Amino acid sequence: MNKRDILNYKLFDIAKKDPNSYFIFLDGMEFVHAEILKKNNISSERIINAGISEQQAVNLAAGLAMTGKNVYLLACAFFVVPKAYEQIKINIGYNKLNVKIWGSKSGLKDYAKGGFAHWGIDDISLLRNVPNLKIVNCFTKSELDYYLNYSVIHSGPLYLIDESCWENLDFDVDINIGKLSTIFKGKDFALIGTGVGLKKAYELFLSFKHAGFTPSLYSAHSLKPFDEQKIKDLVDKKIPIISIDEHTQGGLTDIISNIIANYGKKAWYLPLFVKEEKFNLVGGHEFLADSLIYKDNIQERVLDFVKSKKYVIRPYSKIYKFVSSTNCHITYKLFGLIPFMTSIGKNNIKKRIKRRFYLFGKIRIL
Amino acid sequence: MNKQYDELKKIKKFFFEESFNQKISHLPSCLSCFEILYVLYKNIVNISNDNKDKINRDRVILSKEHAKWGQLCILTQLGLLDKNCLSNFKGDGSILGQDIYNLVGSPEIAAVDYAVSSLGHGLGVGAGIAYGNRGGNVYVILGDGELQEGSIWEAFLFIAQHDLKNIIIIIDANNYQIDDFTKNIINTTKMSPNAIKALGFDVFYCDGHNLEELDKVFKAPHNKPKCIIAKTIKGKEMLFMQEKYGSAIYHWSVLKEDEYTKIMKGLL
Repeated sequence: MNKRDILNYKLFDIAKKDPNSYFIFLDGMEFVHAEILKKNNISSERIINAGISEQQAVNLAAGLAMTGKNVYLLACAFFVVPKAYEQIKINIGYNKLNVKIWGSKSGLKDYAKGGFAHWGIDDISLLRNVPNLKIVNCFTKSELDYYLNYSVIHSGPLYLIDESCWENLDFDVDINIGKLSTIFKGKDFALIGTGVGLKKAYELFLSFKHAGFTPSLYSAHSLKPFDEQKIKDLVDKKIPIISIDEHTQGGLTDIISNIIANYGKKAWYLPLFVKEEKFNLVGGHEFLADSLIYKDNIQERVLDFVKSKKYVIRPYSKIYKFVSSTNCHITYKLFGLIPFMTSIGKNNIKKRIKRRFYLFGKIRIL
Repeated sequence: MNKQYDELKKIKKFFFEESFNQKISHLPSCLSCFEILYVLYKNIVNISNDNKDKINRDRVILSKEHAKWGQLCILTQLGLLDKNCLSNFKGDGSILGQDIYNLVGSPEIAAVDYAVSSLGHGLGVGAGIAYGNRGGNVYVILGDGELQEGSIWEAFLFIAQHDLKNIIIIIDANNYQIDDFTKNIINTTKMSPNAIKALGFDVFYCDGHNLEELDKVFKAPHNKPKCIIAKTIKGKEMLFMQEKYGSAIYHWSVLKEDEYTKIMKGLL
């Protein structure tokens, strides 16, 4: 059974067991997911096609949930999240309503050629700001199965995504909301992937294992809540961390960066994510992913990172100290010609200046 | 007009050839507004190679974005867009994709006024252009399914409030959206004309595939903001595929060889 069938059968199972469950589809979703419900005589009153109206669909879901219904809203992630963000935040999030939003085609993979408006790369970063909303990215078959069951017992807002519905990767591991799943345990470095990023992390894991390394591999299926303790443990053990997520900043990258920064200890972290939004970039998934995330040779980049440990994230506390000290404003001329001004911390100022400006000519301290 | 029908047929042949060779989808949506776009560019709007990069010319906004491929084919065949631009539509590193952001207004594709692949935006943007440039006309093509987007109605209200007579709205009323007939989902095809009339628009009706009727209705004088309901058929030249696949797959379908051959025979 492929993942799409798992989802459809589960929807049918929910519909059959819970007469209070309602299903709202946006245009294009009914065709993909509702056939099984219709064929099996689920009341047409519980199957609503809201058409091409994302904001109305989310508000409708909120209204139904306010009457005690268990609502599943199936929509394209790249349309429903940005277009109906306020409705999700205010009506579903703040009110803790029992609405499960299925964000189809999240990530870069499924609709790469549909154009930038069809790239579901910012849904996680937007929805992390929604209070009470749990966010899960169920990429493997087991994760999908777990979270569909979880959606039944969980009463409250939930955002479920499955990047690349047709890929059938699976691992025999424990899955729990709020926890990273350890797929392989190693000691050299940790690869953490979510969604399609997990597939890439797995490919990297295999290539490095073949080259004699023993990396760990984790699946970050639960993004909110997130397994903060596991990241802290990796930092404590001074294990370099590499995260892979085909979403923008605000996704897995920001989650891990925030944990590290607030933990107050040095960490070695290489985040791979959609760093630049090149709106006019056109092409298929591989081309886009290589251009936006992986760049040249990903194996070499990771190897370089693991060996050099040069990507150091310093804790916020030290940054605050640097900012709050009375800084010196320095003007200088690059190659003696182009004027620049910068601000530099007061402590050990000579050392700082020497380190920062040893290439340049005259420096004048104001 | 006979000459124009001949030219239109040639453009459609080019459209199907390229669609088949490049495996392009969303063809039925392109075909339902093909004649509308052709008449606009050919007879109505003042867009030429001399002024296509100017701000104060007329504008054509295709808000039902999934028909963009048809628009690009027409522009190419009318000499307003370089033919080479189309050779790798949506391909790796191409300048033409379903969205065209940073390049809008650039010399290569200056004739494309607006290209965003998300529904519900075009009319609001068109209202802004019409408000900012009263000297030029703005033609906005909406899908009847697209009328389900709330932002469309916010734009209608703004246009009515400000009595923007230089915006001409064309509703491509093909009765379909992806999943089904609009009447089985939200019947915007039936409900919208009365609502638009009630907002104070001059509403006109025409056959969206008849060049004479389209030409006449575009040129018809109006005293209030103008809305044209163009009755169309989704995928007029490939309807046999709708019976074969059903509404949703038909919407996204890519031509197979036998289907392509059958369509080309029909065009001869």
